[in-house]
Amino acid sequence: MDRRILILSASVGSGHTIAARALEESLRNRLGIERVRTLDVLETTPELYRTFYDDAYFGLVEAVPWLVGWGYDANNPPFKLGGSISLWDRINTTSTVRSIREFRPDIVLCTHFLPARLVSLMLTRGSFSTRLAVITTDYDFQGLWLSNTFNHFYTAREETRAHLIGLGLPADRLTASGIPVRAELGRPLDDDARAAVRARYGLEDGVPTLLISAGAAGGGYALGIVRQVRELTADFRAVVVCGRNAQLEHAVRQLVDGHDRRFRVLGYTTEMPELMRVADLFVGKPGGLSASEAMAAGLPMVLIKPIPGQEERNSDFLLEEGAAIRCNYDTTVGWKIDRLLAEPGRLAAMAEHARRIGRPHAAGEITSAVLADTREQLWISHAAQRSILASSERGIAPSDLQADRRIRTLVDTGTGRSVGLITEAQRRTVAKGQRRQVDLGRGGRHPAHREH
Amino acid sequence: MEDDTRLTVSTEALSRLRRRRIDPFLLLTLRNILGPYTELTFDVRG
Repeated sequence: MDRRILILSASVGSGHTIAARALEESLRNRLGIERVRTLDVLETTPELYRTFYDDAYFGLVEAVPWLVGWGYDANNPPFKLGGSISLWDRINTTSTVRSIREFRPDIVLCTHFLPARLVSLMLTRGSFSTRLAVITTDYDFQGLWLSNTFNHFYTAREETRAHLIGLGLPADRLTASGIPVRAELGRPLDDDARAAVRARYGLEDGVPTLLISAGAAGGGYALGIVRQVRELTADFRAVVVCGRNAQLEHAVRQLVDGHDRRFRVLGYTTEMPELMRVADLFVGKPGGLSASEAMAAGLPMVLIKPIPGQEERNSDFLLEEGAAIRCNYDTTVGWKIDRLLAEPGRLAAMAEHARRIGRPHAAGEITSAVLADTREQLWISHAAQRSILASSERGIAPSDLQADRRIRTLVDTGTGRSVGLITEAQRRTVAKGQRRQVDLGRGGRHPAHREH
Repeated sequence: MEDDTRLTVSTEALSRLRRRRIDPFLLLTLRNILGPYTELTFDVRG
């Protein structure tokens, strides 16, 4: 039977939407699919709510980044806010729920936690049926992504998967897939294509190319980076991408006037995959998607001003793997890049590390797995959610919790796959209820037996 | 000796548990796990 697939994202920044598009692209020309639709759930919500989610968030990042970091940490333990969504979210997503229902998806893929939690709520109420795959878009896991039911959970890296297993989640429901990016990033350009891109942007062989993502860094800070790069002693070529920020593009152009030979200033471009594959160094913020794209292209990064919380953690991962350097001082960006360019061996080693951790085929691997997965969902009881939360907050394994609170995984005897998480106290309660039934002479069925 | 590595869940047992007013969210979870079946037996791990 041909299936209907709904990909849900939320346009808080561009990363979640780019990941959704990469998933959509990977589904193109696949057999057994009736229709694929990608929906930005914020487009279906009231303007006030949308503003709160998007503009207010980035306003806070700009004005009080420490508060954003605090908020991230405060909500980091899974199920801190329960396994469902708040009343505020429910009120504002009634149109979203209608859109999801009307599409009648056989499979839902979520690249943001809001729709993941929303679909989870719809499933829990029992009035809606689908398979739910949750795909995280940062290298670290944040608790908000975990809801009380899902079919499969895709993490960006192995350590995150190990963390979730450590909290009591069943391994067969978790895959370290990488973050979905455009697969072309992993395909090196051939000589002709490379030469054409270089010619188009005035890049020279033998002279290092910097790709500066100014749009993501935003406003005054982006100008600071360009000022620093302008003072490099090493020869270089820089492509400065300002995105849809026309004001910033104009300011950068004014700034580099007279330095045309070294700088090329762009607004929004569709050629990022090509630019990433001809550049030698990416200068910008470590958003989950930007970083994953750079790694897929084997492009080392200079990390600037990570947002406290997820970007700080992305930064940790990239530094730990040797694929990036980080500038903590606005004043030393140029100095650090100069030092790096003076050591071509080091730059080559960083590119090698980037390629090693890059996952250019993540989108295709995720959608192949989702299409092949015919299992029922995993359900997590409220008590088990509280045990996972306690485990996370206290930094101990669920097996070390008080005996009654230990997490027990229910495994389907037929398929050998996990279907539910309950606590030991809950298991005893159910076993007692079932025993009474057996005592009354109505039990005794074969263990693997299923009755409709 | 109770076998804590196996658990049978049935709609009948859930009805009895509901009458005993146990955690409604546990009942909801178990009902969702049962899906269209009236009885299922699980291995219990962890």
